[in-house]
Amino acid sequence: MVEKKTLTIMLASAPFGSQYADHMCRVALRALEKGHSVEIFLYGDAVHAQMNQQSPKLFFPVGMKLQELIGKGAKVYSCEICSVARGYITGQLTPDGKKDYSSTKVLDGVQFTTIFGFVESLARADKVLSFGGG
Amino acid sequence: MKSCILLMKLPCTEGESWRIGEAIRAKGDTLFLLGDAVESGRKEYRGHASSIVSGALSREAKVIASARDLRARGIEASELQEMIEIVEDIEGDFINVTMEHADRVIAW
Repeated sequence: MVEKKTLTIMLASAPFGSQYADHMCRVALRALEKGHSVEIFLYGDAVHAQMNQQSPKLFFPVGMKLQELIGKGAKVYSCEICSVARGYITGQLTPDGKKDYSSTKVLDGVQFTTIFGFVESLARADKVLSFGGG
Repeated sequence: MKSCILLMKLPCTEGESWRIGEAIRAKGDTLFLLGDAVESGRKEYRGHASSIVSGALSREAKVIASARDLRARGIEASELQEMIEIVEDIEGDFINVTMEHADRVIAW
C-alpha cells in the first residue's frame, strides 16, 4: 500500500504556447490515480489555463484536463493578482468586506488565493514541482 | 541522497539551464526526459545536453525517455544512446520515483 502524500505543483507558463501545462496535467493525473493528494497553483500567464469553454481542437485540452483533475480531487488555486490583471475576476471588495471572486470565465472549482496561499500549500507538501516559467 | 530530475526543455535552445542535469550524480538517481528533452538522448546529438545524458548513464543513473514523445518526433529507439530506457507511462514512473524514492526532485 502506497503511503498517501501531498504533491504541490506550480504551473507558470501559459497553456498552448508550450507543453508545460500538458506535462503538468499528465503528472498530476498519475499522482491522483496513485492515491496522492495534488495541489496546483496557477501563476502568471498560467492562469489562462482556468478559462472555461476552451476549444483547442488540435492542442492538448488543458482546460478540460484541469476540470477532470478537479473532479478527481485536485485542489486548483489561481493567483488572484494574476487573474485580476488578465480580466478573470475583479477582486474588489464586496459590501460585506469579502473579495469578489465571481466570474463567468473560470472553470468550476478553481479557487483564488495569493502567493501567500501558495506558501501555505508548500508547507503542506511532501514534494514540490514547478512547470514552466524558466 | 537520491535525486530525480524531470527535463522538458529543448536541449539546443536551453544551454545553461541544462546544467541542472549535472545533479544526477550516482546510481540510484533518475533522469526523466519528457517532451522536447527526448532529443537529448539521440546518439548523434552533440550539444551539452548529450553529455549530461551520457554522464548520467556512465555513473549508472537511470535515464528514462517518453515513448510517446519519441514517436511524436519520429525518433526510433535505435537512434538513442544505449541504456536509455523507453517507457509508455513516463508520468506514472516519475510519480513513483518522486513520491516514494527520491529525496530531491527537480522539474525543469
